[in-house]
Amino acid sequence: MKYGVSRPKTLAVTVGGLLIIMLMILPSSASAQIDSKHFSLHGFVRGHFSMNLQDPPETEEDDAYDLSMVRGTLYLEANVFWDWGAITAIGRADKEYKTDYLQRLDDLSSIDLLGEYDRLDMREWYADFFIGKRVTLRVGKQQVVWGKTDFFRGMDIIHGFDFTWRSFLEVENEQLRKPLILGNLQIEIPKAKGSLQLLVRPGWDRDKDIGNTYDLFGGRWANQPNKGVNFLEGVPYNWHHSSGDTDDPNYGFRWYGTLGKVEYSLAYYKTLNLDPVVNTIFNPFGDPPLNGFGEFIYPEVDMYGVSLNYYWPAPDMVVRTEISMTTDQPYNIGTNFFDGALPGFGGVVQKNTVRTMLALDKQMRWAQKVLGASRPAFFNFQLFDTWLTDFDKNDDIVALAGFGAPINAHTTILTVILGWNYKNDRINPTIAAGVDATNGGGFVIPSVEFAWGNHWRLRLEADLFFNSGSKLPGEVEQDTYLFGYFANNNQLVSRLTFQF
Amino acid sequence: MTQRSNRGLQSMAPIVLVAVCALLTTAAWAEEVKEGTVINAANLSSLLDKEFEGKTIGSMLPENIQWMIREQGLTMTLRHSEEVPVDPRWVEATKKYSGGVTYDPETRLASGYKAGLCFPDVSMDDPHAADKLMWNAYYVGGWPRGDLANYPLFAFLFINGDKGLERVQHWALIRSFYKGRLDGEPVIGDGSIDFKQLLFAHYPYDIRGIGTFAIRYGNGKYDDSWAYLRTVRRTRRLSGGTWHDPIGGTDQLNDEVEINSAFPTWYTGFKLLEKRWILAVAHSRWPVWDQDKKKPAEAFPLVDLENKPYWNPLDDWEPREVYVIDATTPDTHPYSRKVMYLDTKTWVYYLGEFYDKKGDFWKVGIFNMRPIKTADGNWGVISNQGHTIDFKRRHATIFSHGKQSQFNTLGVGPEDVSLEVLEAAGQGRWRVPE
Repeated sequence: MKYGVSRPKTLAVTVGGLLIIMLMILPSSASAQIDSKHFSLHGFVRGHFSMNLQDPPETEEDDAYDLSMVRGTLYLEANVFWDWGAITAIGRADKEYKTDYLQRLDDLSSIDLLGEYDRLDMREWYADFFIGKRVTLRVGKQQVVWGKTDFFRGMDIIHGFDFTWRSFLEVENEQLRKPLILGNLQIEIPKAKGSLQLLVRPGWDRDKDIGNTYDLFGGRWANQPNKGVNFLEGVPYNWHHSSGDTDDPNYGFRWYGTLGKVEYSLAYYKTLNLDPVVNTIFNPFGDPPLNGFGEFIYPEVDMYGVSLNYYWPAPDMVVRTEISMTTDQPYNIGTNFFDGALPGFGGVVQKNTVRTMLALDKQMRWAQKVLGASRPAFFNFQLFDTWLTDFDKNDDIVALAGFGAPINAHTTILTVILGWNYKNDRINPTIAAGVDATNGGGFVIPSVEFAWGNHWRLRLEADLFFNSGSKLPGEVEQDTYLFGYFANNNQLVSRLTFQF
Repeated sequence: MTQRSNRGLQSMAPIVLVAVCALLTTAAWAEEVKEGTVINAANLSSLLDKEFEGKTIGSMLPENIQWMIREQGLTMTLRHSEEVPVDPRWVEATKKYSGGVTYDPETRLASGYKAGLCFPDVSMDDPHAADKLMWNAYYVGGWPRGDLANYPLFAFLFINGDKGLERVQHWALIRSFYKGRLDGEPVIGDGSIDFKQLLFAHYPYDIRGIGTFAIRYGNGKYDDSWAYLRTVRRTRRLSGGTWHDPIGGTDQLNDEVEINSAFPTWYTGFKLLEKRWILAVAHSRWPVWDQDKKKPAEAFPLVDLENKPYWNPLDDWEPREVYVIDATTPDTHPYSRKVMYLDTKTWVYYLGEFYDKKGDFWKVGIFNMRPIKTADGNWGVISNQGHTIDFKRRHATIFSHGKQSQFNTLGVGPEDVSLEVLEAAGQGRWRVPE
């Protein structure tokens, strides 16, 4: 049994893999920038820079306007084609500079922060087998996305996300999603106007590739007031618990088709709960924790989902919805456990949980006149509701372990996105915003991306959070919900990319 | 004496007549412009009254084109006109099916269409001539575009009129016609669908896999369309009202695939202005995109990338007879009107003049055509290269076909143009065919 944050199994394997791909492909593609008959090589070199706009209270110093991230990334995607199929390999190397602010967090935490942020990873490697014209089998480490929800996830539960280095804020969520080793069979059935997807995860993944990974080690995206606090030292992961074992297979299917004017999907997936819960010695959930105190576990769940979308001609609008039910989803209990010192450590209860998304997409023509945009703006409004169907207040469920706020039967979050373009899409501003309609708080993320030629891209972004309650170091509280975790985390971000 | 003199004059008359005729003939030959002559700003005025194939150059150059030659660096190399081969199956289909096509003046819809030309005999005096000609131009499946127009790799060139080439993007467009088919049954299904279309990007990396899938219906309802967003790896439904929005960040509207791609009744109305001759590119040069060349001017030899304003075509122009049709746009459309030049025999558009809401000339579409032998051994007409030029913003988008573009690709059927294929392309499970 291995505890703590796992490393890549061997650095050498990863480095070797990247080198093999490059050696295999570079000689013939060095002069090629376009797809050719047999192969393609693309990717980017990227620099991320972020700066605190506020002073997180965990450190003694004033951290406002200090750099919180200086990160360099090399991303390579290689595709090799044959008549019978294709092989794809995607590698990513990340290296961070330890800023003064990170050094201060590092000094507080028992973990080497750069060890968590620096990566050298074969993110995806898979083979596609084209079996006739209608059947594709994809085998290997890959990403599969279900559902239609932005920001949040109902049906899209096949993969966890890595929220440690950029929280949920990286606009291309494929960079946050944690690929898994899957067998993925897709069968197009034109006569039935749809396709069937059969999916199995044999259980061969690295433990750390399972479920959502949050900053539980005290880094820059640790929930306030936990920056500088390495929870994993006392409450490590147990990926092989009796309620959920990463070595066990997961599986499911999705039917995706059209019925008249309605596009729909039906899905089922057996998997491990995306978010970890705390299993404590005080009220164990199945096997007691291995360390005799507490551990993070990912119990097994079943998800049933349906999505629908329809183009509504009269208002020229697309209406989307997604409804999923996760049976026996685990939640931590004990809002005031241990006199509020260990909220959520009172055990685990299971609730059937329904997630409902309703969204409207519309092209806004007024943007051309009002904003001077070169084409209509894209607007999206989304409502995302999480409903614990057999909610009982007496269960005393916490919204998140470590915080004393009780969960509600319904938690509803509203989000909007407005994106528009100038100069043939060379200047692309976007505003994304959200509000927690149940518990208060929200976010606003204005950004603009500049495109120069075929290669250079610059993104400037502000991540601004608003909260109605938050937790200070040592405080016992019961009013901190989602956006309270982001208190004092406002950031300015710039991202420079050279793609090829 | 007088009589002698008169006889003398009478005897000289044939000689004089021959001499005058000879002089006139010589003068006429002198006025005929030779093939290969390049019309440009310097010689335009001197060529306007001269003839090519019996028509004056001036009569074959619309006012806006003359302005482009004078002010915008457009040049034209003259070539003699040549017949464009027609698929004989299309001629047969016209005879067989055109009698069953009816036009309803109330709805402006053409119904009963199966294949061939909708309305082969449209009189200039017909009060609904413009609508009927637009239906002829709309149902172009089978011939000249083939049952399947397969452009798996073409380039979009983004050009700044002052600075030159900005960007090059690589895209694919595949359109499967559900009506007008010349191979097998002329109509697929119940006739409710006109065509299905895939349009997606290959390059650069940040747009690779991004694209749309659209279904065009035969009753005038807006398209059903979807986009694949690669960075979040999923499809998203789009609003159908985007038919007159730009394709991605280009200067070309979705409606301007082949200059005009809208369902006819989406326009408020059409007027037939005239039938005339213009200089057009009907036998465009080849190759249009040499993918082995790195230098843009060599890779795209039919674009004048080395001379301001960098967006003009370099091609061979010949006299073609066209209908000139004026389209009135709906309120939501960015233009107030759109004047299109439609070939009377091949039913392809060579030229479109687009006017802003104030009625000022704003943009132009110049499409260069070329007869193409289809993959199944028949004939079609491909738009070799298309120029959409925005004079207000001094910006242009040009598409140039790769060598892979063809019609009626063997082994590719209507079922290969689907949402699933869009998703496959977005996920790297699709490749440019050899």
